[in-house]
Amino acid sequence: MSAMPPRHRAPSTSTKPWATRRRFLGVLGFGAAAAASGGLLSACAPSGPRPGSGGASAAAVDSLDALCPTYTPYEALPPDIPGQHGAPSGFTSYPTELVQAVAETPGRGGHYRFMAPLWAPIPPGLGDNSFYDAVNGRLGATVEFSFQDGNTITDRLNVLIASREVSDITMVPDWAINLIPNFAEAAGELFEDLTPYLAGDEVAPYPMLASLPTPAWRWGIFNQRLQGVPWPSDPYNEWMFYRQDVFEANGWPMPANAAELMELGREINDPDNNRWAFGDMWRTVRQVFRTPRDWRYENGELIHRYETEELAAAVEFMREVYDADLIHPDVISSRGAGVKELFNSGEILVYQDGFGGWTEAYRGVLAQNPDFRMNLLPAFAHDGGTPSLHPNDPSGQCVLLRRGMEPDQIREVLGLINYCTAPFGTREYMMYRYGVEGEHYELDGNGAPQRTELGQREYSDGYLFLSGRNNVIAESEYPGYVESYTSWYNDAAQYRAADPFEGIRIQRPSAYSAIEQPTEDKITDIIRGRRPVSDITQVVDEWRRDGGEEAREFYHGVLQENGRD
Amino acid sequence: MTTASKRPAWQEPPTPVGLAAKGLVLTAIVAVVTVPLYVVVLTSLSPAEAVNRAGGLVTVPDGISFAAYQELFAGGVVTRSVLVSLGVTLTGTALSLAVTILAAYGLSRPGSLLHRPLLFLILLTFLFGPGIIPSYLLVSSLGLIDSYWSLILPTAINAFNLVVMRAFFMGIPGEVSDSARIDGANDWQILTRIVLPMSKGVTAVVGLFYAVGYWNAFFNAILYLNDNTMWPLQLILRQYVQQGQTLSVGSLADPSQTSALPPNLAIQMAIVVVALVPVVLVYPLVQRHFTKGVVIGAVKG
Amino acid sequence: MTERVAAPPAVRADGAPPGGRGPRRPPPSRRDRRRARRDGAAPRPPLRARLARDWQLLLMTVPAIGLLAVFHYVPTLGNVIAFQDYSPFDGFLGSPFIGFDNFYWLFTDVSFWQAVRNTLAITGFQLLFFFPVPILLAILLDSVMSPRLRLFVQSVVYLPHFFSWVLVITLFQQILGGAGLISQTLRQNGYEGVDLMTNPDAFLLLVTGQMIWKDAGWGTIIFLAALAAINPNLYEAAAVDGAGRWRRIWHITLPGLRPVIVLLLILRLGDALNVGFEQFFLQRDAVGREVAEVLDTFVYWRTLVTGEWSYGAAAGLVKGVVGLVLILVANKVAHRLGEQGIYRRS
Repeated sequence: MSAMPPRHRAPSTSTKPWATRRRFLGVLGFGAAAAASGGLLSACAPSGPRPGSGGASAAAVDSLDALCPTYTPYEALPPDIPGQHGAPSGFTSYPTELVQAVAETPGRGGHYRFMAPLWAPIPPGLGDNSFYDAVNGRLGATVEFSFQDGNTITDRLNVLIASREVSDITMVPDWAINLIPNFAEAAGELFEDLTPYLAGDEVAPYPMLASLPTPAWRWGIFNQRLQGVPWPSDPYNEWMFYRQDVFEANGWPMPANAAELMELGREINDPDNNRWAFGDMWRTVRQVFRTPRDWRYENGELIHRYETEELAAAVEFMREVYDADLIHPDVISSRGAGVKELFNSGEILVYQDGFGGWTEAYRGVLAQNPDFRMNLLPAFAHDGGTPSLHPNDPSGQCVLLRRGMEPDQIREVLGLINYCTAPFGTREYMMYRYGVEGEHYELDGNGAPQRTELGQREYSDGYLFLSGRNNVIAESEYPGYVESYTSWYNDAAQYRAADPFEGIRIQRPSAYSAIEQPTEDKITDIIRGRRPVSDITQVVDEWRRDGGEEAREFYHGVLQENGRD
Repeated sequence: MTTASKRPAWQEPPTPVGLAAKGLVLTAIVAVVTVPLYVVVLTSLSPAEAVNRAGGLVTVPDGISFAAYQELFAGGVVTRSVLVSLGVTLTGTALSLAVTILAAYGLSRPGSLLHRPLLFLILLTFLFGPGIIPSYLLVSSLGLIDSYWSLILPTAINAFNLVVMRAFFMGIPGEVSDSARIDGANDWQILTRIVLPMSKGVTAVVGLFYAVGYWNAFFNAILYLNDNTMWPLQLILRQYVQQGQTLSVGSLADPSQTSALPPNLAIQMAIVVVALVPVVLVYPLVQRHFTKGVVIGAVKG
Repeated sequence: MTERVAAPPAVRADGAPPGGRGPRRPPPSRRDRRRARRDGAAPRPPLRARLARDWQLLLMTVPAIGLLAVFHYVPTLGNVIAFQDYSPFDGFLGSPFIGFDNFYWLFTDVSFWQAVRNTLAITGFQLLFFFPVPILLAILLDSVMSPRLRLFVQSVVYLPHFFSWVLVITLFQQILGGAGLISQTLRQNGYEGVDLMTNPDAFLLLVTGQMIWKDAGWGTIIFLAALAAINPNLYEAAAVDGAGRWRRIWHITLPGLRPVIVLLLILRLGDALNVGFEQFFLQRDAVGREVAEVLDTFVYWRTLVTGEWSYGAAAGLVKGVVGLVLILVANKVAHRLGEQGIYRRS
């Protein structure tokens, strides 16, 4: 899949969509203000399409496989609970014997600056940081981190692309790529083409990289060039968590359909005692109702999620949830509400979160509240039938190398990346994630690594972000965590929703992204009781009118280009 | 020169009702601010289990712990950034104040050559701002990337401060400078010997505004500093607040594999407190210049 | 935004005491002056003489103008992207020019006008209910006789300015939210809880209340400096003439503050389309876009989320032009009313 040919500035979708839009503008007018300035506006009406309407998608996805490294699995340790249907594998205990995955020192004394976003405190820098010294020593090269504020990383990346000033190594989160106009084009000019170093059997010197699955690698291809080293994603991102300890104490059942979820919510909701049933849950409820992630391809017709009956039903359900006051008021009244704190304290009993929230909560709460337990609601669908969960894109990030490095340097950096790709169970993994035993971490009674005070102070996710790795579920120090999580995943992984665009990286024309937010806003208005439920038809009509039809046409073209129509 | 410490002789004694009403209003105002402030400080001093029990801000004392502050200051990164911020704030404020005073005075004489077009040009900067990309390209072409000057020069002049300072200078009676000029003083001497000594209040205020601007700024550092060891305090502190936000930002691979500490409200509140401390310390210095009668009264009276 | 400030021309430049005691001559209108020049009644000195007289003043403006020229005007030229279909990668030279298309899309977007309406409503509401608060608070603080008490109160009231909006909103939730103090008390006494933070009809009140709490104290600073600049002899003279406390406030304090009030009012009008971002971003979903979408959040959704830089630049230019017009009009009105405004006629 994927790869984006250059994003044409000229519309690849013909000028017809524009004409439609303009006709519409002429017919309906836009309220008093627009009407007042109508004369002026029509006088200077644009002759071209709306900026941002251009865009193009991948050519035949299958042709990309030749650019990918030959897949050679690598397993340091056999998992205790093998992942099924693509779910990550589980380890119920920490290994006593670590495997050495990379025999030689990968570096040759080079010095590389690595820019990555970070969502954590900045540790002391190179020279004041024994963790960095230890890992760099083992790497045989110096990686100097230049961390960026994670929330403004797109600003920073845009600026660097405009100025053509990139670090030796750059990590770009996948979601940020879509927010950068012309990323594919920029990637070709700013970053090195890794195809000659990694495609096919060229990957042999980097066995850890060869162990990353091919779909993830395809996600690192731009303009028919392999450019980014991926971090393979797990099948899903998020689902509903519940407070297992509170549920067990009260004997509450697990819901198996939407009606039961509602019933459960009404039963456990208790505002008088400052306890609410739910936090935010809209994105997961959409999946409960089998709404497609974006598009569904049916009988030769692309149907957007807004247009499905399933979405209307999900909206109606959420409206009922809001009407019954089952959602914590703080979550409703501010985007900045501390949902996790509310869940940890028991003021919220069910909420949606990324899976990382699980260990995060255990790390923060178990020490003070040893009885605290959370778990995932089993995957279910609104009618009790087969669930349908939205799959992730195949990779979560791209690691890119500055264009113009010497081939030797590129090989050296790929060696460093190879080292940092070593999975759970290897010495390398312990090194780049924890440092030196006895210095930066110690093993507790479970054999689980615990950072020492020095380790906590000096550790950063920098080396982790230098590459990706096949994820595993291994935090066996948390009671029941590995068992609960793997059994949920091995079940849920069967229910991946079909996506007609699976594996195709599409840089969405911004004009189509622009119509999404107003539509989401209107849906929010309905869900929260500010508009009648019946308005959903009108909302969808407006979406179609304001660019939805053009988007459909664009996406249909993508299907055709990929031979999937 | 009257001091505010005592009621002047001409002023009638306060009525009991008036005094009570004023006391009541002031108490209410102070309470409305101090109670939340207390909650913030208390939360910053609360152990993690207290925050967990409260499900958010701690309103009733439930144990005391300095862990949040210890965590903040462990490793020396925050301490170092405090020094950076202090340096940038002091240098920047001094530069901004000097340049602003000069320009404000330069534009303050009615009828002087070009003062209106220049003022208009300055006002335009209040209305039209540059985007981040052209700013970056400029700073980069001047070789200021990874230089502390990149945190100072782009925001050194604030049109608002300049305009108001100028207005204040214009409030100084013209006769004062006219007579000085007749005595042979040049404009530089009039500014330093007459206008500035009469303008301590506005200088203090504009200085405070510049200082607070520099102290709170972080976006220039995001754009212009690659080197994390040069980051100012506010940017370093932001990183603590971002902990655990990986998920809300997007799907960055599997965050269960990353090691961000849990979002810790105690630390977030400790951050608020740490950023407030210098502000609390500086304010009395500024406030001294507001004392009634000191500023212009002495001259005018 | 509230960092801007400064001090007041407490005394009029002509040396007349504030408050118009003494005859006030209306400033000559532009037409008067033109006529005067034509008649040769008030000839301007020749350029060379003015230069000889004012060169020191001009020299003093050089550092500021130079800094602004380099760090402000030059990059501001980058706003040319408002007329382009800009992509950072293609750059200013490589991106195609598309004339006024971005403005066309902006002006034909219902959401834009909705955001403008909301923004203006909030600005108007603020001018009425927020703007006077720091003035009143400053007068109140100024009347406190004990310097210690005054320092204490002043030092406390301006601290909320340094709280982030997330924190301010969280604190408001603790009191007014559906799980807050008021609601919990009501529930515990058998009533329904009320959520004052998700009521679209009360949103203007709510955000203004938040703004007052956060920034009213901070806003007093400039007025305190202005109050300090009022000649105390005026009070004494008034007291001797038999004016009571309230009459002194009316006849001396307020007129003394008037120039700075007018100046800040004009500058605030120039900022009419800026009401801040975060406060509305955070609470937008709570009450809905219909009332909470302001220009800055509108631009955010249209640019950061989609990478439409040009669209955002166009919106920025519109804001600036509107601000400019408002400032010029307000300044003119101020002149008509005999106020100094931002700049006086020369």
